[in-house]
Amino acid sequence: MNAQSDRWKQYLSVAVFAILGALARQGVEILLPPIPGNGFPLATLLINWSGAFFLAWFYTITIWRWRLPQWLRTGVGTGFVGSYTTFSTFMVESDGLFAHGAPQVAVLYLALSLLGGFALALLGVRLAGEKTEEKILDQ
Amino acid sequence: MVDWIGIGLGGIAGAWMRFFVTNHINAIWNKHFPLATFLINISGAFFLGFLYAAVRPHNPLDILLRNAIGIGFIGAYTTFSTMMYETVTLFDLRQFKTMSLYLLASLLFGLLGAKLGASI
Repeated sequence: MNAQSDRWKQYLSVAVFAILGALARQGVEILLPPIPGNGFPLATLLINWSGAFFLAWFYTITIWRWRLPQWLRTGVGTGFVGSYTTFSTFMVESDGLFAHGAPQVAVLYLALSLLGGFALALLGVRLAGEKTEEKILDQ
Repeated sequence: MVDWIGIGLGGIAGAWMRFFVTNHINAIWNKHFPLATFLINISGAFFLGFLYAAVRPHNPLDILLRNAIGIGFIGAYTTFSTMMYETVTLFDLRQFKTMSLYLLASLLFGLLGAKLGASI
């Protein structure tokens, strides 16, 4: 496999998986409208949390334990999960909450997204067994 | 139905652009700070703020534009999961200053970008 055709395969794979990621995100947004009364964007929070966990787990487990072809790893990671989660909507929603007189909801949304996203991504990396692999390599 | 097709096609373009920008920036950037994702996310926040303010959902064409470009293209172009994975990577590398700078700068410039885009 030469580098040129591998790059081409990755772009094709990213495209196919990106369709699924973007549609899945919109599906969740439609199923879970903002919480009535305070406008808390529950859908985007759950999308970003689940995506942060899955990407961290997936990228770590495919380093050692699962040998996937590069096009598949890039397709699932960059294409699907990258398109499923979103930063732009997260920011526009936060700005909207600040602008519409709900700064405490905005701060809660920002804090939950970042702290929860970080904790879940850390959990994903640890569950994928990075430490276990280090132990195996040390033996 | 046409809105879902718009989101899917927009998603392809957004993910391609993110992949392209990331590959090209990483080829010349060798510091710990995740510059590619940072630039992608703050520019996307700006353009989404701008789009939603500039195109109000008054008719089916406006709604299609907001869905295809906003939810599809810009939504897929920016990413939260990669930002968190990079943050954990910096944490495990004990690059705590770079990690904090990355998160704070992403939030600050992301919020400013969204606000600026909406007020042009």
